[in-house]
Amino acid sequence: MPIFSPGRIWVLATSTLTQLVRMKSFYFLIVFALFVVAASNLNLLYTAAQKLRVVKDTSFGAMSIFSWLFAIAATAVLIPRDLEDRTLYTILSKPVPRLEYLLGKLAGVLLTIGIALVVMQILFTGILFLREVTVLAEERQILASHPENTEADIRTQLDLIRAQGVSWQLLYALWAIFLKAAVVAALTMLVSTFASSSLFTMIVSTIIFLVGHFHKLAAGYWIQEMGDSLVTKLLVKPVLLIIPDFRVFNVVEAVVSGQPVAMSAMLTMTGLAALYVAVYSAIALYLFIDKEF
Amino acid sequence: MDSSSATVPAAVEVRNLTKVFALSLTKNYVVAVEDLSLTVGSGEVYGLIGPNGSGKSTTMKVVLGLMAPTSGTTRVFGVESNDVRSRQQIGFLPENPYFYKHLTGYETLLFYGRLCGLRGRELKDRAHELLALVDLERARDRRLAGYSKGMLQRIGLAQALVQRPRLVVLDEPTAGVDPIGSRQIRDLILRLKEEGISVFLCSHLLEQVQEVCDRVGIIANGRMWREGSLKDLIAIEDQTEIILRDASPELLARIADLVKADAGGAEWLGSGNPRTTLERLFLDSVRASQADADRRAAEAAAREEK
Amino acid sequence: MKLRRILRKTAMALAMLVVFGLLRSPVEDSLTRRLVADKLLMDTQAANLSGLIGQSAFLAVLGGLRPLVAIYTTLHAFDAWSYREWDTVERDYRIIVTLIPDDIDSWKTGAWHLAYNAAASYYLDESLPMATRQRLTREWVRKGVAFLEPGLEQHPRSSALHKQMGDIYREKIEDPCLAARHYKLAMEGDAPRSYMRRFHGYFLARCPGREREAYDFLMALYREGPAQRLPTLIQRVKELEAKLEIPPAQQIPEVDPDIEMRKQFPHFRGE
Repeated sequence: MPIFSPGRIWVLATSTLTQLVRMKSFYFLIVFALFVVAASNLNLLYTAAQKLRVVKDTSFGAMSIFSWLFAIAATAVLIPRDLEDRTLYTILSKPVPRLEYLLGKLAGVLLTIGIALVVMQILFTGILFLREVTVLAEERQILASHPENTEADIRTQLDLIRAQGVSWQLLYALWAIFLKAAVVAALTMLVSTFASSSLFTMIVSTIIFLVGHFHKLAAGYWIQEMGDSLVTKLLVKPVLLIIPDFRVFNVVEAVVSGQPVAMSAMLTMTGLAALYVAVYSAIALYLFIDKEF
Repeated sequence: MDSSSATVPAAVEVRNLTKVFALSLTKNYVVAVEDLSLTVGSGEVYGLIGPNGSGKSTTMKVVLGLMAPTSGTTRVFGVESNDVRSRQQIGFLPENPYFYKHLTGYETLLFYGRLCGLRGRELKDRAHELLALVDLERARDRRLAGYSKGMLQRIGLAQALVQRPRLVVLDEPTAGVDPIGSRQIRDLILRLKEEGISVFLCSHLLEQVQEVCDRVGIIANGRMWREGSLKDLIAIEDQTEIILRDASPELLARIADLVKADAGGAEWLGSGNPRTTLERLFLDSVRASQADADRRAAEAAAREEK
Repeated sequence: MKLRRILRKTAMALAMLVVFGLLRSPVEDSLTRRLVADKLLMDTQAANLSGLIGQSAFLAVLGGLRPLVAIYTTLHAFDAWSYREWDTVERDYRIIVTLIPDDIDSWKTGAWHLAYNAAASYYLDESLPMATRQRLTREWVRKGVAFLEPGLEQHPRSSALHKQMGDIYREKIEDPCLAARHYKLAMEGDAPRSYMRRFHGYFLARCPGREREAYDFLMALYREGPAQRLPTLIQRVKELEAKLEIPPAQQIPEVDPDIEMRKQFPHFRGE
């Protein structure tokens, strides 16, 4: 019997996916589609470029919210539920190492989020593309009706609009959202290995998640105001080190606004996320390995 | 791993197992199992019986590696319980099992089979075979959410057997199951025994244990009180039981006279309707353990006062 | 005892997190600095220092939510605009550009609301005395300029923003020198359009003391060919020829601008 088997992790992951799908998680996608269609018809004195931008902003906003909310809620519920239902007993009494169980659950949640994100991306890219075609046609007509616009002028303007349309760079945003969700899910799993209830896990993980967005900033002010006091040393600095830093993943917004992001920055971000997942899983295993049921 | 040593190792070997639970940050703690030893021989059906809270489940969980012992060791076919490989040989059916409700019976078996490394045709055949064994072929495509308690118990038994383990651990296999379902499970246990599979079960349904077990251990307050083959435990060497039907009082009086007249010094101890002997033994053990626990508590209290 | 073990493990887990924190912090901080420098991350430090967004700042820093808050605020501003609540419009647009400072159109729309819509709305408000109407109009035009200035600082190469600023100076403040300056920056910017060069020339021509420069610039355009010989251009060159006393031999021919236009654009019906 192999001591570590990706096959078993895959079995646990796909079973978790089935579980989440049969819990009707994907109904969210219908809401998402309606939301994006509504956004694409929003018309607030918007310029042509803004009309496209608002589609991207709402789509990626909804995708972000879905992914981190789902990462926290699903991860927080799954392990305690297995324990309550005693399903955990039947799984761990099979030749399944506890590491594989944890990784399987985590992979299942990420697989679900990944599939949902890809579906959402396809949906919204389709809507954005249709919108882009209409907006460009409208804008070309408007520009051409003004005699002073040269062909070069029209091209410049349309290019500015196209910059807000469908592009490969948008996949970077998708990837950044996924990475963030992966870190959040690993974090939640870590919390759930010592938490007493799902509710506790959800609350603690959400707080850590929220704090992780501005603690560096807040600490900056604190140290600026209070200096290197005892509280700073004993409380502020350790908190900074313990709580993850989610700022870098906010690059999503820049990508969505059409700014080019360097591949190297994306790679560093991916590396960081992988490190988070690895370290959190390791600590989760450390706490889970001799947990008694 | 299969019978690598010359002598076949015992299916389960528990040596001096002690398990202590802490209750709070102070020195408050509970001894769930104390210095317990037991052996389940290969191919044997062993019943661990005891009242609720006696330490049966704790012992099982340690054997399964779900809990670590405070001291002592447990082995399954010679492999330590904390080694995940020991689980390759174990099929476990927990008390009142719930599996993933969103899966059908067939999918459940596939899931557990895959966890054990089974794949493809082999796994599918095995799943069908097991569904037939536990008589759930007609319910194979129904989700477990719609299964009755007896059906859940049977699918649980099927999943326990999926990787053809050499040891099956059953925690209260018939708890909450109606008499027919209970009989079906008993028959299944007997079939496993015929196939040479070791069974380690715990129960408080004595009658059933008596019917299927080769050996029993009686556990109370975390200690093993009596252990041995069922025959040995129930038989009392210097006593003989005569069971009669429609005996008249006159006949009984004559027998009593015969006993009195016996030169060998035989003694008439009593007469009456026969009772389940194991039940008597069980109740005696529990009473004895209770008395012992009371005595120890009193001693502890006395020490405290000093 | 078990509890001691739990405490030990908790301490150990926290220690692992701290060590991980020590290892990752430098990487994260440098990546963050780099992303902020590349304008890929919002400079939250600056946003918060501006003290503008209050509660929204809290929401703003939440990942993925910033653009959503901006959309909501745009809806809110749209509402305020239809009720002519100009203070609200101003505040909302300040929030919007703080949330999504990279969105050129928001800077443009915000400035336009203040310098054009708000200013005009006060100018047309007959319930106020004339002096107040004029003062408020000037004030709101100034607000528009003040709103746009940080946008230009952040996007110094944006043709669209310089064009917007040039328009305000041209139409609302009537300062041809500054208008010309911004049209020049617009034509040298990231998305120049051909009219921006002509506009630069037209308003440079009206800027006292820069007539010669304007003349040379417009003549260069003129020489590019018939496409640039629009009626206004010809008119401006003629004015400058008179002012600069250009000898008749060097003067451009007098033409009926309408005829020229019709040659180029058959559907042109005259100005």
